[in-house]
Amino acid sequence: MRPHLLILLIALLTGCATILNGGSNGMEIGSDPSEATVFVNGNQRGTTPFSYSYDPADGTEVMFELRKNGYKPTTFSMRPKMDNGVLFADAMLLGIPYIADRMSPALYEMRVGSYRANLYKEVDNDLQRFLIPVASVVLAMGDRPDPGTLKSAPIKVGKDGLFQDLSYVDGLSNGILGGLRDSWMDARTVRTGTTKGDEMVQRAKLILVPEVERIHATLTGERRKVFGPIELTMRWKFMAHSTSDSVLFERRTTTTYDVPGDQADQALSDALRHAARRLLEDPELPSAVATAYGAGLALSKGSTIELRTPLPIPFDGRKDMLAALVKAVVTIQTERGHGSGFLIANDGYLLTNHHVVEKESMVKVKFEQGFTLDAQVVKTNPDFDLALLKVQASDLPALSIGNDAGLMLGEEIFAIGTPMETSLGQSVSRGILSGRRDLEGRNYLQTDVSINPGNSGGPLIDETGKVVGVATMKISGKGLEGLGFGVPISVALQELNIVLAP
Amino acid sequence: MKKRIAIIAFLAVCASTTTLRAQWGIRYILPQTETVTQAGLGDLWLIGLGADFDLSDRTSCGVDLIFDTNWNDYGKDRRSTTTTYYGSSAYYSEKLKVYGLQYRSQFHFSDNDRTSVYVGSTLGIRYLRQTVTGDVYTNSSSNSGNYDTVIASGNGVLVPIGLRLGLRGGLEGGYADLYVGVGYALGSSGSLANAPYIDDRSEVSPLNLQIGLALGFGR
Repeated sequence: MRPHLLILLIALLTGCATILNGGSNGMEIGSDPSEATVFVNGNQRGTTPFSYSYDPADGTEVMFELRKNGYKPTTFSMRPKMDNGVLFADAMLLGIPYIADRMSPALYEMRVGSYRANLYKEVDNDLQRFLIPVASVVLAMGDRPDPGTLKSAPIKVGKDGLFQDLSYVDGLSNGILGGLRDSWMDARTVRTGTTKGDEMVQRAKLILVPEVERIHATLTGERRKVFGPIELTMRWKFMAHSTSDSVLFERRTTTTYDVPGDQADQALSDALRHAARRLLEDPELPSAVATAYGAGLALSKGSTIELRTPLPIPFDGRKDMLAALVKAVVTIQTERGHGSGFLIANDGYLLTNHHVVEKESMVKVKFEQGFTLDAQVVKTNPDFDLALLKVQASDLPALSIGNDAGLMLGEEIFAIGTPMETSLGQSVSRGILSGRRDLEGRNYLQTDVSINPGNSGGPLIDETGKVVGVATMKISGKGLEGLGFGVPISVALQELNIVLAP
Repeated sequence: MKKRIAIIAFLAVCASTTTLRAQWGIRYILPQTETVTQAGLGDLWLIGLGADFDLSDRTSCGVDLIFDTNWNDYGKDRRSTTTTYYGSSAYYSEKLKVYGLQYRSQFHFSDNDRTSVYVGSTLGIRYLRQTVTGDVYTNSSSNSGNYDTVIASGNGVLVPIGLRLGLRGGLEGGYADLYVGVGYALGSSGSLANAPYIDDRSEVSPLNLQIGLALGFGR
């Protein structure tokens, strides 16, 4: 071989990555908790901690999946980067070695030397669900927050800084909501200061206020793809109201989230999602929330809800009265069954029994007109078996509130409800006021009107077409007939602290 | 011989599969000045057409076809400063036609899907044709003291190998490339045309300097 050809051959060969680079293409994969099974591109490869070496020789992205019993599988992908030193040498040699190098695993290196994946426990679907509004994130990091570094340079806070989210705290709530999604905590974001947000906070039994106490990130990479840990110290305040003195209990979490190559402005949101997920794993949290929810419920009774007196439903006389009134009576559907309810305000507030909705926070409401809407349980009073619901609608027909105190014995009473089956919706039955009873310290209207399973929560209506009670229970047994009871409407409004404004 | 052809064919297939996967663009070289002769930068202006391929986030390659802008028949007027031709000076006009093909390979210091600085190597070939039309003062015994018109021409081939430093935009959409290059030209030397009276500036330069601007569009 001629000498110059030999020199050229040596130059080209020494340019090849396989020779220049002994293979720094490995990555240590860990998991929290450890001993998770590692799958690489669908193939089982080992358990964490696991040493992975990039083996596809084409620079393609590698999909990792970690599985562990009792935990949700987690997946992440990583596209290796090319060794810049080798690429430089290749370019200087007219790019010729690159032809061979791009088919060699040695050209590629993983973007991080180690990566720790976070495994989250499977959500227990049997736990009671709670509707909890999540208020805007509070930043309690002091006047001069120091959120960490990117490639040793301090991370700037502000609109053009790396963690842009810190300037838009409403956006941070979305990360937290992502972490709480599909769990027993039915979390919703609320923006206080808005009509809808304030209304939701007012109705809430428990509010979650997340507070960021400390962020410490040590990131590498570029803005578009960052790696490294973000430590977050969070204080989770569970409050009865949005006022600072109503904290029922709180939790503090310190979590470390390893950013797997997100966009820099996405990283903080993901770290918050991770922190929220870790909060859910607190084994004592469900019972603490349940207790606080009950306390919040009691407190919520204290807050007055002011409703507008509904416009009367027009009808010509007794003949078409009930046909008109059934439009304001609904069937309430839950996972366990159904009950009845009725509108008391044109903007979608409904009354029913507590035992109809029980622990549900959202139920379906079917109207006589055929449509179905979601209703939120605004307030319940288990002692008096009452619940106030709200559907997002306006201009609905609602029943006028009657004077139950003026009702005379023997006076005619109508019940409207959905007995037995939902197909029997808005069934009307007739009876009389049989008496006024005090059962265990609670006032009831006794009536012989037919009250059957499914009628619960429906209205008791007087001869003038006004609601005088909420059908609640009946006493049944062999040889017993016509012993129905309803909560007087005045008691219902009082126990749910509802005020009707003119 | 067959073995060599097989190796070249193999490399060509590898290269084509590499570039086929790449993002690419077409560039117009508008213009490039280059020191083919010793007249220096700015004396010869070239334009051309080229192609760019981004092989990875940090590497790219390309090939350019260039030619001179010496459109007219006369070329540049020069005056020899030498007195080597019969002890007298000569006036001459020189026309240099240049056709070139250049391959380049580049390393970008940041991701090349956006504007990036790069450094690279170049390998090219230049075909040159030099035509010199001289008004030469002859002082022979038969024809003393006259200026004669003498036309001489010659061809040459140069193989410049060099380094290039540039600033290029991402290939997607429109892009620009501003570059400077320095290299050594193997091959012909001295004067291509048989005209011993011509000035050094018209002789081939072994030092190859380039400054150019290219505009392109890609996907």
